[in-house]
Amino acid sequence: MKDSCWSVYGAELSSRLFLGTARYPSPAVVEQAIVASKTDVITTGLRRQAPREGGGDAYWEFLKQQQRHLLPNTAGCATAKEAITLAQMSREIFETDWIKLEVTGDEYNLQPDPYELLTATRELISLGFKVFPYTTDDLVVCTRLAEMGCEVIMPWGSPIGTGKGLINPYALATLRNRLPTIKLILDAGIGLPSHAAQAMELGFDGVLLNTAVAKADDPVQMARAMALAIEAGRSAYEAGAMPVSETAQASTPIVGRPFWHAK
Amino acid sequence: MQVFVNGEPVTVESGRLSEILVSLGYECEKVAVAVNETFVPRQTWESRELASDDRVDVLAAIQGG
Repeated sequence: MKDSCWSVYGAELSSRLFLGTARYPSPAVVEQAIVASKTDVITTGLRRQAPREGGGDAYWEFLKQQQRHLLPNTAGCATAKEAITLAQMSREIFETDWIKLEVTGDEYNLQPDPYELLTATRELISLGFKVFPYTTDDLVVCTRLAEMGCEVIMPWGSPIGTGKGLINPYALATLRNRLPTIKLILDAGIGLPSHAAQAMELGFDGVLLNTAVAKADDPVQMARAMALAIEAGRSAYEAGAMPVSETAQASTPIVGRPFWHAK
Repeated sequence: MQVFVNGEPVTVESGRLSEILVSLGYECEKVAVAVNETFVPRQTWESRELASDDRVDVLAAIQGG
């Protein structure tokens, strides 16, 4: 079955893969990976710009040429105030209300700070932003984000850049069950296509990944592999998986089995 | 007067934000600015007067995950 269209914050999308643009071996490889992934949404960031470096315009031109939705992030922010300021700067530069809201509470595993995240989310929504919050898989935090008006929530699979996959599938399945109308995008921790497929099989609406593609030996081929896995996982979710059994169940009919005689 | 631009001390003659950005060589359509960690919209740069020791952040687009 062809994966059907879906939407986030009113934008119609056909791909369920959001692709990061960092850590690739070259700009040419990013561009090829974007094409191979068939993504509709690419992430981007802001950093201090030294004078007379061209103001980042070469990269800005590159982004425009991709003709994808841009999802700027607030990576590196540790407080709600920092994240709110960076979001406002992003809106001016990238001309979009979308913001991937990251507020880091622990530098060791880049774990989101739920308290600052909720504060920033409330303020940014009041300022007209469409917030894509990067959060842990905590059910109560995600519920609060939904109550504030987030149409999309992005729980982690595992810490950013680890490639460990889904370390708490139970928590992620619980989020799906408890927040049935929220667009859930698994963000961070994906290392393999099977991880991405697992998230989609759980009923997630999409997957955001970066390092798994950027740091593959062949990023372009891995981008293609991720796209296929995400489409397969989504189709499996829509198809409805068989029930799991503790005991063997013969596939071939028992009736008419040869060499059987009543004793 | 001294202000800080992206963490570096800079001596400026005028306190006007728009003039400081131009004098430092920024292409103003490509950057976004905060002063003392608060966003300063582009349309207000002309009227914004900086004070001594103000902290200016000038940011531009980069790759991101």
